[in-house]
Amino acid sequence: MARQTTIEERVPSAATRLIAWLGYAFLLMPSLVVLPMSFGTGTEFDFPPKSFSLDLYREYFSEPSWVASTLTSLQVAAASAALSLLIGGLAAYGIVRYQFRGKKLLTIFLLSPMLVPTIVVALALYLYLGIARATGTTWGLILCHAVVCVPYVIVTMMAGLRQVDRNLEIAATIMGASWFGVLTRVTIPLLRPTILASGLFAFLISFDEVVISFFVSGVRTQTLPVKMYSTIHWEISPVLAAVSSLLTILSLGICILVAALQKER
Amino acid sequence: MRFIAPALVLLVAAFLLPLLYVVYLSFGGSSPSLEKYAAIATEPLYRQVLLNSVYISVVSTGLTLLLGYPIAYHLEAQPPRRRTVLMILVLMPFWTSILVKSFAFTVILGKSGIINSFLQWATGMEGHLPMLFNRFGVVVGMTHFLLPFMVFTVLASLLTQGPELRRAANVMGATRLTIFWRIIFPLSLPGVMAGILICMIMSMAMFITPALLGGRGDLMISNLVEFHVRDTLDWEMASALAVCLLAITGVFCIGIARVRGGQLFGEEG
Amino acid sequence: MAEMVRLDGITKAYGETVALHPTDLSIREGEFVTLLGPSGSGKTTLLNLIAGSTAPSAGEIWLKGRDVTQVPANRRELGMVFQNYALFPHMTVAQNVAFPLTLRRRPRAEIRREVMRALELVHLPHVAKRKPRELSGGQQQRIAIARSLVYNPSLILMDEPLGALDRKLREALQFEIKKLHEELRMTVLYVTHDQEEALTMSNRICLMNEGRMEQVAPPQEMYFRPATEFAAGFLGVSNIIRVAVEGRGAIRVGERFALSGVPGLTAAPGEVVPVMIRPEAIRLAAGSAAENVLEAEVEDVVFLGGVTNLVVRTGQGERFTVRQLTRRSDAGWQGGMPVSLSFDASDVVPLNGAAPQ
Repeated sequence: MARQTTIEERVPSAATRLIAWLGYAFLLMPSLVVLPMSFGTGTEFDFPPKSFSLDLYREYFSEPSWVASTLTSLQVAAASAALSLLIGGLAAYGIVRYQFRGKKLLTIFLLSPMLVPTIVVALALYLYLGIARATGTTWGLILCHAVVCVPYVIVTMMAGLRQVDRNLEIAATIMGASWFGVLTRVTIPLLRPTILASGLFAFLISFDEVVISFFVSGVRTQTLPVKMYSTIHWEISPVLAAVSSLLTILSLGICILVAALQKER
Repeated sequence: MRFIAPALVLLVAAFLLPLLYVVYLSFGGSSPSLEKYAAIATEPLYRQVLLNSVYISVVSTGLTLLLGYPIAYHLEAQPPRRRTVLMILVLMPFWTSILVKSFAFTVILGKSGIINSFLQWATGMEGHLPMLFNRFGVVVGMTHFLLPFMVFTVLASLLTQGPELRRAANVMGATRLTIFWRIIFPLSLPGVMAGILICMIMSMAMFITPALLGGRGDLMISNLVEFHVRDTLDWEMASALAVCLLAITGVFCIGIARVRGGQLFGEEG
Repeated sequence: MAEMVRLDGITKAYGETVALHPTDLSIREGEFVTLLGPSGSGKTTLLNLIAGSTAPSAGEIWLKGRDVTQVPANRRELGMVFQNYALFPHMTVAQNVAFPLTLRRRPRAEIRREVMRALELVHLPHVAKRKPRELSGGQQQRIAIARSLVYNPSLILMDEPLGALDRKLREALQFEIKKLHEELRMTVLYVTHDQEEALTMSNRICLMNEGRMEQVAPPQEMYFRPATEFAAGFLGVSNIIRVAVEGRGAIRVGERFALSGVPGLTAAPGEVVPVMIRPEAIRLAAGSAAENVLEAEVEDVVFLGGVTNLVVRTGQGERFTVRQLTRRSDAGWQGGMPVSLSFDASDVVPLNGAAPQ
């Protein structure tokens, strides 16, 4: 007896499911390798580790160059996330809520850093900061990261703003709220999840950014990814497993937080 | 307009002007010449690197599509709750630092890495498969990096289709295979095209993966840019290569705008 | 009574397209005026102009004797109710209703009192602590109404407020809004495309078509004395025919049917003018024996319950819809039956401005 399958059931064929699950496994593989390895011991790469310890984490936290680069990264990421959230948020508000000439072209320009290859931006900023004698400064690094983060903030905030019913703002205005009152009492409270999400994303983008930092950071402003890059490039030390695990947990944490924020919306 | 001003100032000062400076340098700066472009066009090194870039990008993008489409299709077929959970499996690597991934692949693919150790243990043979610091390593790392972008783009186009057409085709007597090849797949083609173009843009400009997972012979355009900045200090050459990369990206962007009906980002209104 | 709203030649154009032709309108204090018309007729444009969310291309808007044409929306002291309720989802019901009062920095005790009073007016004091999304559509709209009247704005604008609700709820809320209007003596400008809603609720209807005001009149007059073919066709069922004018107030409808003493007929003899006759004003008799009647044949009989609509066709090919109360005894109307029509001169309404307004 032939079983009736309706299209609503939509069970993909066995082959599709197999490839999909292989794909999921492939995607997760790096994280799954890095985490257990970070609890290994000493100097050898063993997978799975023969014995478990926190040695690698201890090494990471006691090595001044790792700690210093981590602190630099945190500082730069926090500052550039705040900066890009402010100016990106304003830009998104202007784009979504107002009509003006050349809007489409301007929007494309504001989002274009997403498409221009990072290496090109990195080279450009490296040469430019060289002229401005700002290579290796923290504020130079913050500005460079803001250039990369702003488009992402604009895109997420635009999507969020489009979700906010225009009538709510009109209603508040007619009841007597000023432009600023509408913004602070209606628009921003409604956008709170989006604002937090774009801030977290901007933070993560800056925190993980490596190519531009590699070009424009100096010895004293070496960020964590730059330090990781040269470590992988030159010596591959097992402590990388601990650093990688911490970064993975950071990404996962931010992902889950953003997912929770979306649910709230 | 006044809301956009701060972002505009930042991007003009710290993005547009630097880029224009790169273009200016690429044409010889204060003593204009096409020397660097001529060298790129004629010298075998550059032709080889360009070929490398195209080869690695095309192979990685192709693999990404072969793996990404089934994932997107599988995700779309899930009930929303399950889809959200499975999406985390795609989002996680998307938000994981490329350095973490590169490090993991050196451990997985290396000479005494996980795969080779396993093979030695299983077959009892000496020797190893060369998977790292060669083209294989770059392609694996690149595919891993590109996969989430492909899945998101294809999934978005599958989700906009809605069940009505499939239901209608089903009622008219189409089998699952017919429905896929005659309805679902053709309708998802713009998404597939966009995904391919996005992956091509990113892979052509890839820097970290070939630098960390590739060998001497797997240099890509970006690595050459860095080589000229750091080692030969030939900034004009680095700029000319960057402009070439920018031009290639521009062509792909026009393609994206085409398949998205005139919208580059789908957000510009 | 004092004048609340006055529009002087208010106009709105977007480039070449005119959304609203120069329009004059005056609304008295405590009046309930409805803007009625099909979508795209300019009624929403007019409402937005008064609300201040769009700027007019020309003309002036006066509110309570003050020229507010250049006054921003938040200083016009208006209230507004939207079709999609526009309640703030991040605030409780009480906070929503209190919002306009907190903007006006009223003392906290007064705010609490006024909010409760407004919620009692819409019979929902018990939901004060809930969030809007926990309420039904009808409840949400009542909260929105409470919010629009809690600060006694000089004019309340309602933009298709019942458009998203189902029929039963709509009728219940029509009644409630009407009652609130009478109790509180509010001035309301109400937008709808639903003619029944306009007829039941308004003191005056302002019928709009293609960016113009077609006619402004109380519901009764709008129904019985429409001024134009559009007005006649938009409200209720109407028969619009062209008749020859034979003399002062005299028309000829068919070979054997002429009427004299038609009110408001100003056209000169010899002209052909459009007139309207409502279906319920037409008398119908079987056969064709009587004097001074219009001979016709039944084409179609549509039983609607309490009334029956008959479509009849005259010898000249004119179609009439005739509405009759259904009686069991005369259930015998059938297609093809010869009938004779007649109606009184007083039921004939000359159209296209032929009648003095």
